[in-house]
Amino acid sequence: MAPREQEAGLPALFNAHYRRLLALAVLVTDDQATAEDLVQEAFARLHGRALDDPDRALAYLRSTVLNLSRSRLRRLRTARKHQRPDDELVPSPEEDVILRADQRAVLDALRTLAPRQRQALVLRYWEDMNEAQVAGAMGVSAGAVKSHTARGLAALRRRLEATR
Amino acid sequence: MTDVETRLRDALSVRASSVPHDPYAYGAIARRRANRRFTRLAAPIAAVAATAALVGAATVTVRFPERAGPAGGGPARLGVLLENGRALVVERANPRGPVLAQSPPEYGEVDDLSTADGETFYAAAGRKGTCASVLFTMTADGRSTKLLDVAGAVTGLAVSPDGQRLAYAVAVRRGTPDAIPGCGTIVDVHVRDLATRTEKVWRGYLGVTPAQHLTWSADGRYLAHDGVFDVSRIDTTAPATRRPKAFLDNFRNPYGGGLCFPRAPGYLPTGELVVLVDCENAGTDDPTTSRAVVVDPVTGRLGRVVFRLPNKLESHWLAFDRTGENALVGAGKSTFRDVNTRYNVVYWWQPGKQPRRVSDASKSWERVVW
Repeated sequence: MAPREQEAGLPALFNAHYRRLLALAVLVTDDQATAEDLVQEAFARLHGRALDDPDRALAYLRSTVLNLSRSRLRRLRTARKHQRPDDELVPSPEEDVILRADQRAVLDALRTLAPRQRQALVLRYWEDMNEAQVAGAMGVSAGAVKSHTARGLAALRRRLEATR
Repeated sequence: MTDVETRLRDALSVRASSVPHDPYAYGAIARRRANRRFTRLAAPIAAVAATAALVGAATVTVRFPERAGPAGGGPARLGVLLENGRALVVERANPRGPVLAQSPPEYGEVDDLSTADGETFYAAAGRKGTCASVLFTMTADGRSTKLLDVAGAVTGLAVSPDGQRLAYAVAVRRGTPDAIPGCGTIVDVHVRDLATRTEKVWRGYLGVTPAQHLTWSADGRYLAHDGVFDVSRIDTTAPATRRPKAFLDNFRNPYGGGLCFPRAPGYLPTGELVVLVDCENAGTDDPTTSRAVVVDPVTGRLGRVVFRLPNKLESHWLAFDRTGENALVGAGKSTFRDVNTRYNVVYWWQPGKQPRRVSDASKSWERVVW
């Protein structure tokens, strides 16, 4: 597909996938504003690129969101160390109402994992991807996905037990 | 599936369903705590004291702020505003602060203002009833010095960061249609060496590119400006023989809807060029939220979003300070087909924070310089 035709398909791509990509970005970064930036940037990067089929375009967008979120998470970790109590983000009203205490505990534990472990778990258990698909999205080997998933789950289990 | 896996799947699903899906939602703003009673009271007092010390009590009248500004860290003085020929200090606590300098009545209405040091203001004013303009300086002690008469309407003005060169764009009559109604058809960009009084002129911009919002890179090499929904850049070290082309034109909104319009470029101290991008919403010509986006001035490719305005106002101008730690953005409510803005406000941005509104709604906000 020529870039101009690709450009014409972007609105459809956006309408079809924006919400899910935003949710993915929120799950891996845990910050709505950051997530919006990442998805916006992913679409901006796609703009003008010649990707010939919508599946490839979606894969490109998903990988871009994940790659951007890793570097953003590293920066956020440093920033949060120096954050004043006043600047802390509190849960949105939607989160407050919807999440139960045990679900919140799981998400709190997830937040403490390394970015790649967190991404592997989100793709595996929220996107329902198999190991090969997760590996493709994260740009790593299937073995690495297995390792990130296993370690992530183990760490999650330990943290949840510690909070009981 | 283990218990942890089941719980994880459940929590992720519920969390994902709670994500607001408005593409232009700004959850972080609503979620920030705002319990800063002490700084809310202390900030205006500190701002007045700092400004009085800065500009000298003998030359300006310091007014007590009428209302408290936004709380938090940052400079008390945010920039200088051009309003009705007066250079006003924009304070966090009082957007229409003390008058730093005022144009003499004989020069007419001031169209643009620029300063490198915050003390000497370069101004362009149109001669009433004609298309001629005059460039002059004004200072806080009330002095005004004429630099030159210009045979045309000045559409933009910017003094270089080192204060040595003055860039200005002039619409001159060389054909049709007019870039400035009744005053010019083609825009020339002049870069004047203030010490030697020599000029380099890039001639022959198309009439539809009036060259507004001239802005210098921190190293004084590049001069960026916007036109009618496009952005161009001039390398001032290159010969002035070729007309620079716009590197970023309006483009189709990747989020759906109509077009996106880049405007009002600004340089970060890192050398990155930032433009404000407003996009049309699907089905209407109302603007979406304005975003300040890094753009590659060679390829025109958009990069990271530096910040977004926290509501759906159309942005008009952007000014970064020399540290890149502060920016002011003028924004208003209008449509792309109605350039008469009805509602203008100024936002102050700092890295890592959402832009905060520092001004009241007004019809008269014009450009701010640092």
